[in-house]
Amino acid sequence: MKEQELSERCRSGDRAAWHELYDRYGGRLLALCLRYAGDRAAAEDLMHDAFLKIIASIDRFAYRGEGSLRAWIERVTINLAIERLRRERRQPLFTTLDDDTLRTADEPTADEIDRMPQQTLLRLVAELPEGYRTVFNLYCLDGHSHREIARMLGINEKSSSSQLARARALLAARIKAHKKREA
Amino acid sequence: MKQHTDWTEHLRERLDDATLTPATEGWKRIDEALRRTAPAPRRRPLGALLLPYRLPLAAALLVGALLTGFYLHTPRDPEPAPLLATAEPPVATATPTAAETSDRPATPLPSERDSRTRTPRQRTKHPQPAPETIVERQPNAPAAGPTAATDPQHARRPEARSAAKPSGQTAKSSEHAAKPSGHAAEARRAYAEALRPYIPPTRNVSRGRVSLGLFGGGSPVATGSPHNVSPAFLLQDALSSMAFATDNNDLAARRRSEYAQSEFDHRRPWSVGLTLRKVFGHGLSLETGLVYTQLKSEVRTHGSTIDQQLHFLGVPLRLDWHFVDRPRGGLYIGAGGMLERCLRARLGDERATENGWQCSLAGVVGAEYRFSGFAALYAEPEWSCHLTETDLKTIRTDHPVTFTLRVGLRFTF
Repeated sequence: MKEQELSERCRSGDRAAWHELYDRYGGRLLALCLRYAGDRAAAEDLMHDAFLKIIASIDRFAYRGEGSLRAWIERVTINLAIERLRRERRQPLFTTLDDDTLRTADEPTADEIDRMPQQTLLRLVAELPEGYRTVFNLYCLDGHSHREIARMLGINEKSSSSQLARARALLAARIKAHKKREA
Repeated sequence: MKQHTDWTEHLRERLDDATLTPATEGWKRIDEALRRTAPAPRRRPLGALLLPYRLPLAAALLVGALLTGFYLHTPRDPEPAPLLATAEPPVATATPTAAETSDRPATPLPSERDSRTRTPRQRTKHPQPAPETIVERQPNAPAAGPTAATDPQHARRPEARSAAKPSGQTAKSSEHAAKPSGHAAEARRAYAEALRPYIPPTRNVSRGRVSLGLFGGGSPVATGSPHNVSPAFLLQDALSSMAFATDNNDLAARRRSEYAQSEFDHRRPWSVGLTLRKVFGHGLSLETGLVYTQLKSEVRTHGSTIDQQLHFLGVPLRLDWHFVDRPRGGLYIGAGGMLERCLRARLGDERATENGWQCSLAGVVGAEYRFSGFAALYAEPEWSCHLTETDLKTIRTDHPVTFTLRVGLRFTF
């Protein structure tokens, strides 16, 4: 079944189509939720709520070519993750790590990244502190600018930029450490 | 657009298709939640429902306006009866003098017609005596004879009055004449109505004349298109990808889709313009000009609000028909269309490009008040149907049929 047909059937309230939607995109969506939520249980909760929201608002989806349904689903999920982050945040989003750790961090090579298992990379991203993880996901993995990130998180652009630098350094250090342990 | 040229780019590619196996009871939980809260069927907004029928609706609107105009323009029976009937009581009191009797033509109605077809300017050349003068003369009608005889206007008026009465009513008229002058006020009122300046039914839209107009207008209502999903933080890239991007990767499509899901609060659109009108025969005129229009919207998200502005310059072309035309003003209806070009579009700090021509059809009902020989104030309620859409969502894309009230000045040369 193509995306357009699937979206039309979902819009008409076909439960079998909703199930098909879950089967087709549930795995990717759970990986995305894990990147933003940080742990498996929170990721599954987030995905549950995201699917309910997707089904409730499927009639607002406008088909614009193959891939647009997946893109829309992911965007709704990211929005929900950010909304939840803003709503449930009780402590400052960003923490300051030891600058020495960051200065000594050595960036991994492309080869090292390519050789690492996907699940390990996913886990390392998910294990970043919440603020770093959010900025890193939004900037490096989902392609947003610092201006957009600043707007959606309620911070200024410089904060976003500095937090990204720290997130990159921390993730690089953890990837290196992981490689060292494996070796 | 930011570049990923380091290790994070490889990381993004590795994680782009990452999947995890959902929990086995994942769908069951979702299905149960869906059964508990079955989503109610969402009613589509009226504008979206009418969208496929916008052309027939526009045609129906124009036909309706034309039929209304035709109905209003259909000549009614002239109503001389009240004019003449109100003249009855004074007629009875005025006994014709010998001079009047001798001057009375065989058919009295033409004299009335003369006075009705006389233009106001002609009337001012031959001022008539005030009605009061005539009424107070009634008890002494014979004494008024010489005056009436020397004044042709006085001579005509009793003729008209007597012409309106059958001869059999003469006795009744005598009774009225015998009544005391307490009826003078009623008679005065009757005369006042009878002597109301008559405006000849000639068209005042002079053929071949040219009018220049200046107007400002706006829609009296602002509307919104509420959506619960609020991913408006993606708007700038969405706009960039929509307006500038030539690559058709799924990121652009994704952001385009996200823009459409945002929440919009459309401000009242307003416009100003310059019009040029050429008047032809049969009450017809053709109008064109230049119209600047601004469409402003607020794109809202839970965290912030982004302003969206579109500036249009358009060339309208409209045919008007003046179905009521008087020296002091008139009413008209018109139909036409407009071609517009977006000069500038901005969403927040980002600039967008709207390259296409926008076309619309419009029906208008207008009222004009001429407060001097060459200047007139006019108001035009206008219904427009926008046939093309911009990439950015505006009040026109949400509501293709819009109502605008224009007010302006028109100078005729």
